[in-house]
Amino acid sequence: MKDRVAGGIILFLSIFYGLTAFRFKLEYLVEPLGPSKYPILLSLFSIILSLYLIIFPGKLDIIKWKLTAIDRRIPIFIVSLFLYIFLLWISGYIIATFIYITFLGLIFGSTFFKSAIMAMIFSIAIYLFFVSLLKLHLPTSYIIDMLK
Amino acid sequence: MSILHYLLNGFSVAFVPTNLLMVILGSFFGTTLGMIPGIGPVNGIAMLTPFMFALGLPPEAALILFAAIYFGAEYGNAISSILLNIPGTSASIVTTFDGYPMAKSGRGGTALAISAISSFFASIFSLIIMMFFAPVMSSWAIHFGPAEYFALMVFAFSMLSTLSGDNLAKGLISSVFGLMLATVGLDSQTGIPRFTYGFMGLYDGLNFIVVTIGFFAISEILMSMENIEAFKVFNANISKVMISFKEFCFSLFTIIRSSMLGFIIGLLPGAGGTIATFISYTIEKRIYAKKGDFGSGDIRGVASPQAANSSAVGGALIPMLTLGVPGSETTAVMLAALMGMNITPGPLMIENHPDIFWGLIASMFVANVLLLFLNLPLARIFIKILLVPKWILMPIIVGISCIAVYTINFNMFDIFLMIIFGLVGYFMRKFRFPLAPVILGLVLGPLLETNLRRALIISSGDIKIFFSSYISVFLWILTIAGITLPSITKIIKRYAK
Repeated sequence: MKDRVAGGIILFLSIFYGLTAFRFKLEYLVEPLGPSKYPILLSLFSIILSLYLIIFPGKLDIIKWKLTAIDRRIPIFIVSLFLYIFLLWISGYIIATFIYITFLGLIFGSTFFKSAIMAMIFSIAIYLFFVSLLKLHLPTSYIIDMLK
Repeated sequence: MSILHYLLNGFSVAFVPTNLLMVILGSFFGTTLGMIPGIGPVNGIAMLTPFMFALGLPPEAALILFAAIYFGAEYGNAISSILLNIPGTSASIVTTFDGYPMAKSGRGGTALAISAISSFFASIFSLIIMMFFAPVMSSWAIHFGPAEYFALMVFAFSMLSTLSGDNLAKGLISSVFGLMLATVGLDSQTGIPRFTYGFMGLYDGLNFIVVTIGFFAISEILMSMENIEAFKVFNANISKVMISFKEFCFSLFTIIRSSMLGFIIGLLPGAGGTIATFISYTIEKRIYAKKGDFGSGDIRGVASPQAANSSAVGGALIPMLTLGVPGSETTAVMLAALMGMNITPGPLMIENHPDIFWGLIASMFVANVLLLFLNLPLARIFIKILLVPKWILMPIIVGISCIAVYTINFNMFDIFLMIIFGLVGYFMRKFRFPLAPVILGLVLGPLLETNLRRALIISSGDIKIFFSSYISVFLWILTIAGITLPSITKIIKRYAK
């Protein structure tokens, strides 16, 4: 069943990809293939393979989803990663990374104090490495930039 | 100039302080990355590439670092296999069969030592063969035109799809998915934006570092969240990592056979170390069917996969360096990184950049001596790294992944893409789709399309050009055989029963 679900998703995405490829048109076609035929070819190939997967699903068609407290950390982790991007934009690298790495430490089973120490060392060390040694800039706070 | 002369020149490159530093760093990082389950050389190389660009290192230094990581990972992955019964990378699964029973019976030190020594001999063997074989292959590949290259790449995809998973359709879907990802961005021939959907960040195409870190590092962290307990090290207090001369002689023929086999299998696109280890172990087990103790702690059961695995690294580097066609995810990332530094591996590389090629060979001789030293007397220090708790290790990996991705274009959008690819990679793992063909597809996609289109321009759209030379026809036959043979064998076996 799971292979069929995967096959269905791939079929849908392949059709979408192929239909998008049809829109790439040139006024003067200077070469036999052009920009659209190769993606269309890939789309057709993918459609055939996804149909094969739907009709002949594999024998190892089992997926273990552990719906335990640990597994619930996965969506939390993903959401937190997106929030980290937002935080980087708002508060700049050091503060955002300190907060985020502390939070990750907690997700992976540490205490708040230990995580905070580790996060502080990590964020400052990386900042110094990039800014002082490599002379690269890391995200700065949007708010501070505005106030400047 | 003779090969010896070239090699001496290579050593002069290898002993340049920057390159020597790369050898040391690469060997250390490689052993560590190979040892920690789930990270592996591909992540390490992808994460370090932005730093290489930032530091403005010359291409030979970058290539030396990457190759040292690749070799080092093959040494390091045995440590976790032997002591934890958890393979550091898929190529060390077989090492657990005899390595872990050896550790359980108090022979962990012997297992670690034979693993390092067999890796050393196999790596040196593969480098020597590489020295003689790569220039020959290069001079042969110089006659390849776009049609031959296209056929060669299709062959690489077919092999990788067939060998990297338990389901051919899934392997092919992964390859096609990678090729689709490679079409995102401005079309190289016409300049038309494709699949960008108005996002400016997609006009330059998907960066391989973003996709690789998402697919391998982030998805691996998601997988590891399902089992959050710390690693339990068995017999971490190993007093001595050494073997006797008698034990070495006992394993010598196994090491020689497995090195030869590993090198040949490593040459094939997609086969790589994992398959080499399984085949060499099976052969050794059959050879010593009556006299061996395979599966319950035979020293040759550790020597065989480690030798095959390390020798396969040398084999895998040859098609990447001489043809510009990588056969594994690690060599694919190496190729992409080199192309980012304006070095295009291929038939002309040895001729145009002999310093890079021979410098690499010489550096790898140095790296392997260093790795032997790291993995024998210093093995106990590396074991301590395995004791680092996940709450330190995982946040550091996430933090470095984010910053590595950010520094490519100094763009938050790339971190966003990395998360998306992390999720896609996680679901692909759950649905048992192999990830290696996706990376190969992404890296080789532009080359595949360019060669396809170039060949059709030459022939004015006539597809007969793809079958016009003996090389192309031979490669197409190999491709068809690669895809159909496993199914035909299955059918024959079913009827035979």
